Amino acid sequence: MALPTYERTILRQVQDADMSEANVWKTLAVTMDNFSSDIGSFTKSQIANEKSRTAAAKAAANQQRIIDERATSVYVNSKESAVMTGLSQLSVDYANDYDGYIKAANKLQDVWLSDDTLDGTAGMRIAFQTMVSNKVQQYGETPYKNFANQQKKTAKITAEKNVNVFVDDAIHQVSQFINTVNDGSIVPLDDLDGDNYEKQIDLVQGKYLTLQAKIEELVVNNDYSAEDAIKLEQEAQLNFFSGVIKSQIDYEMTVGNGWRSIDSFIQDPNKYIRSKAHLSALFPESVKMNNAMASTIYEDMLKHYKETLNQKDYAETKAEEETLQMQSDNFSQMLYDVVDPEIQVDDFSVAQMLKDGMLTNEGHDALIKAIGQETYVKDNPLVVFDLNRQIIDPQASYQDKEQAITDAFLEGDIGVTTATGMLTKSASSSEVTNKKYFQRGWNAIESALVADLNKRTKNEGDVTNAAQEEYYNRVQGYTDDDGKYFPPEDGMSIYQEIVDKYRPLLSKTKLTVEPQEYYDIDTKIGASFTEMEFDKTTGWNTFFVGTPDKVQAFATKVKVGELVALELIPEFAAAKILKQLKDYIVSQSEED
Amino acid sequence: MQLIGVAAQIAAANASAQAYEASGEAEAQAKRDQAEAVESKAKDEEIIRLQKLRQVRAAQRAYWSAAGIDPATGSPVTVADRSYEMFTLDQGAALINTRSQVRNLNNSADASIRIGKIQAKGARMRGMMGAASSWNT
Repeated sequence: MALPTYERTILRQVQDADMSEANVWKTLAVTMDNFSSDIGSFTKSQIANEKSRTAAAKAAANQQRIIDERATSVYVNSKESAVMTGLSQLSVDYANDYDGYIKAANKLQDVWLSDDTLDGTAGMRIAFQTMVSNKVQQYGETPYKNFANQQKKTAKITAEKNVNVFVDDAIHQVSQFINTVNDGSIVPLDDLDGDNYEKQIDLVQGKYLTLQAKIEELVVNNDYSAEDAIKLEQEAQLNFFSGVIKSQIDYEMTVGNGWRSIDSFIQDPNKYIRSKAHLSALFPESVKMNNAMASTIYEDMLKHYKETLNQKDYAETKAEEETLQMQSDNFSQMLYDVVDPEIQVDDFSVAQMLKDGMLTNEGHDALIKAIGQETYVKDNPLVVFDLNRQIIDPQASYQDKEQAITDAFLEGDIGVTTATGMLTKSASSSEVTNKKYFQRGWNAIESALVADLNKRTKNEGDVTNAAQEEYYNRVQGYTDDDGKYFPPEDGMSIYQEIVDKYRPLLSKTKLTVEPQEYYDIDTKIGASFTEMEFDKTTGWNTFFVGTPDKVQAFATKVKVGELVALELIPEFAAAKILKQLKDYIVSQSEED
Repeated sequence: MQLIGVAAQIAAANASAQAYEASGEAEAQAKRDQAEAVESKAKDEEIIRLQKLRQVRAAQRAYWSAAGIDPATGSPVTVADRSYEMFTLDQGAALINTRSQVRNLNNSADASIRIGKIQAKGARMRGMMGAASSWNT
């Protein structure tokens, strides 16, 4: 038997590696991978979704845009016609006034753009505004071109005028020089005072240079072509030469040598100029007068003297007119004097005035008749009617009116008082008759109250005279009995009322025109005839109604008329007061 | 997608996650059981080896006595010590092996739980992701 021993049964084992931790990491890695994958998918999905959403939004926006564009197009097209019509009309209305066109177009534009519809659709307002703006510009082209052309034309005319004025001024200066030489103020060249000639030469040379500069300005600023500028310069120079020669000839005319000088000039212009030192000083040495220039100046001179003669005729005509005016004033004054008891007017003085040319024949005859007239002349209402028409006629001159009044007086149709009253009215009627629509109301009254102007009756004449008198006074303004002033009224508003008031009087077979209510002036206003005082310095008579600052002419006339009718004052005194009234009114208006 | 569909998707993900967690825990429990079994088996084997040592030592003493040699002195003692030494070496190797196995199993158990949780989180995330994708469509 062998010795038993303990044999080892277990050896240290090589254990499997502990993979638990690794497995955890592995699982984590797998999970993370999955997560990455998922999140990738999710992101892709999100991106895809986003794209999808963006595409959808874009499609929707496109759709809305198309709708908006369609609506805008429809609106703009529907308005375009109206816009074009409106602007086209403005383009015609303001064809030459660009500023006016733009203002009117802007007003129209404001109206068009105030439409609330424009704010309901995106882009509609800007589209419409753009269309309108373009059209405003488009239709404004013609007015602008016309305006620019007009400006250009005006500038050109002004520039040319400037040149001509400059030449005229130069001629004027030179004329003075020529006159001073001719009248001996400046002695000839060979005398000690010859510096004056040098100065004149310098002056003229300066003028030539300035003229050239002005001509150059025309080329630069006013689009003048070189040819036109040269032509204008030559014309200006020729005008200057002509002016110089004419100044000299003017002097020659005064000494009875004019036409011989003209003849001398046309035979040899250069010799004529150089033969006179002072003329020679005014023409640069380089200037030679050729035949064409001389002919032009010659024709110019002939025309000049013809015009001068015409001017003399004109002056004579003006002188005659002034004489007539003077004679007319004298006649009016003398007629007032005739009825003034304080002034003695006799046949002799009137005849002397005629002889001295201070009166016309007609004026003389009328005054002689007035001096001899002692009986009361009853006015012919038809003649008064006609004279009233003429007095308020704005086209008729004062002389015409005076002539008609004088004729009526000479014919015995009106008395002295009526004549002087009408002369007073003639002097101040324009203040009333020039009022707007005065004539229309006046004529309307006449048409309403006179059936046939060619066959009018005395009754119609009287009624119409009274009606038109009221119309005249109310348009002028008047003061009633109580001293209340009624300001001027609008003729068109009152004429019908006046017609209605006076028409019933036409039916009466025998007219008795009662004093109308508004004529009833309180005759106690102002001083009485016996107590009145007349201030010769100021022309104010205390008899007048009103104040020295504001005399009430109508009220005064009515006061005079009523006192005459009541036989409280004689006719000559009435005429005198009316004359004083007229003078006072005239002096007041001159002060104004 | 409808709200109900999304909610169902989230619920499914939750269920899946819970399953993963449960699975992890179950596996961990199995590993721990296995580790306990290994330890128990190692103890049994230790007893068997101890009995085997005693039998060997008894046989040696019988051998030495039959030969007329005192088993308590001299070479018999050396041989006996030698047997004991081998026994302790066995014991040590067994202890190392057992401990290693138990540790591995316990680690695996822990890992199973963690894996389950990771998988559960993954499932939840996937579910949420899917739901989010669905929600956005």
